[in-house]
Amino acid sequence: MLLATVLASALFLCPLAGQKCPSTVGVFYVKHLIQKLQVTHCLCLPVPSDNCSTPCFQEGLSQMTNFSRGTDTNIYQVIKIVKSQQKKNCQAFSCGQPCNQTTDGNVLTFLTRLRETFQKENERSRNKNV
Amino acid sequence: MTQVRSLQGGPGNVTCLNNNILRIDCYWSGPELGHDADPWLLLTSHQVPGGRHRCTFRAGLCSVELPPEEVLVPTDSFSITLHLCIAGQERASLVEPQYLPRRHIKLDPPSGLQSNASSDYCLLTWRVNPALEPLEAFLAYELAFKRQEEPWQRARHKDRIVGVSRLVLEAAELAPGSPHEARLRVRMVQEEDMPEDERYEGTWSEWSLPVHFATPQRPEPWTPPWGQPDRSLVAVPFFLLLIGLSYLSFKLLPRVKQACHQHVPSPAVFFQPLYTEHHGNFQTWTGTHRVGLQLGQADISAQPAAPEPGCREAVALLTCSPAWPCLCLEEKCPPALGSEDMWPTGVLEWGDQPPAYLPQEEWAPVPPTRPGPPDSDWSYSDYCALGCHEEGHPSTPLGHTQSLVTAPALTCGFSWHQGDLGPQHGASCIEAGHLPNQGPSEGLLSA
Repeated sequence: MLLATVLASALFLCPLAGQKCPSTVGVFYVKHLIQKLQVTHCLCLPVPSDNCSTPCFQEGLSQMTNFSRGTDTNIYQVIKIVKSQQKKNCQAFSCGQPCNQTTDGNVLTFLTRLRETFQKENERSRNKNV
Repeated sequence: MTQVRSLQGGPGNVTCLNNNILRIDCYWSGPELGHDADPWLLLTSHQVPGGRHRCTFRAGLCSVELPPEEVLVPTDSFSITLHLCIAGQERASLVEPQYLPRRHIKLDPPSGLQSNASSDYCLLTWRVNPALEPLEAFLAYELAFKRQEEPWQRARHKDRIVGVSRLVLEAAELAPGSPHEARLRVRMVQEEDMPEDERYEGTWSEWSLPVHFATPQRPEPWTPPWGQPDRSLVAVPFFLLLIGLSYLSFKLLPRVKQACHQHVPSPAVFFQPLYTEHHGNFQTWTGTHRVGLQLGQADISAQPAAPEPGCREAVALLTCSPAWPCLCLEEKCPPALGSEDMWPTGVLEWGDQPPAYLPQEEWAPVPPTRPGPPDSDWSYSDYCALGCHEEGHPSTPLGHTQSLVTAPALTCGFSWHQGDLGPQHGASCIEAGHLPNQGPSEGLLSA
């Protein structure tokens, strides 16, 4: 029974441990949003202050979508990248807890934090390749 | 491109391309797909819950327009099934279990192509869909431009245009005086270090709408009053001139050589016996004296006091003068010596086969035997010494008849002295075999 549990756990966890989560394109999308929105958007967005960042990013991106009235395709692209990272259980996006520990920030602060999170995942993916 | 089987059993292909934003176009190529109803495709997203999209083929083409929240990203994947209605029954076949849009991209052509012609160039600008602006670094363009009356097949192309949305066409690239038009297409390109999960692949987009522009007004180059000559009118006289110059150079070359050598003095003045008795035939002259010299050379050791008349006679007129500095002098000439100061070089050592000429490479430097006159005010650089050396009498003035006749073993040397040897008169005496590393006849006038 114990052996079966260990094997089952190994089979379940191994794919997650070996999961690569590159999001080079995500970095490009966020950089473009920073250049485009930092002047025009004045929002107060939740900037995650702990490792559980996905809910906060989703909430902030949702606010940005509403603010743009759903016309900015680039925001949808970022939302889809975050969702795919979450679906792949990538480390920085695997937390499912509500967005609690946050600090308020503007669009620039929020997007900069999101870009840094993408870049950390890229770094982890490169290390796995090595 | 995915191969499926049509209703009639024949093979067919379904190809789905997307613009990497919101549209997926699928094409059917193969036999007719059915008659009861138009076939249709169902695209089911693996990433978006409930993302199912249907498109019906019309003339072999169906197109899916995704909602904005389902904009395509590299992580998207779909399963595609082909649905057919045959005799009132729906049949489905799996076309593609995992369709990755990022590997089947055909972007929309660039839009808003505009031109702005100035005096030196024409600036072309264009736009891409705002959804693709973040990926501008991955966009490569190809430009085609031509004169307006030409077909597009003859257009000139420019590629390797990556990551920009403007291009300059220099005036020199365009035919002057003709209106032009240009068009553009785009594709996704990526570097090799891009992660496999995010690598884009695809084909060129369709060409954009062309833009028309006038040729930039280049400043007119200066033209002669008779107008700008045709190229052939310039080339033909040019080649004729070249041919004429070549002919003249070949024709005049002998005359030029002759003119250059007209001031070379005749040696007849200095070799009177040679010219008066032997008509300038040097070999005849040397043959006449060889017998006498051989006999005289044998007599020298026995009768050192007997002078060799032939040798003296031959050398009598060997003098240097400003008009003819020296037989082999190149720069300076030593002071003129008396007729007794010179010996015919190698006269005493010629063998049975006299040389017809003096090989310069066999001239050997002769060490200085005595310093030059203290009042000598001309500098020595390179000069030749023609004379005889007397053993045991280094201080004896060279060229004196006395030294010649008293030498026990006397050879006549014609030597070339380097300038660094110091002042040296043209005549010097050495004994045969005393030159280091040389044979008795080396450095002397011996063939």
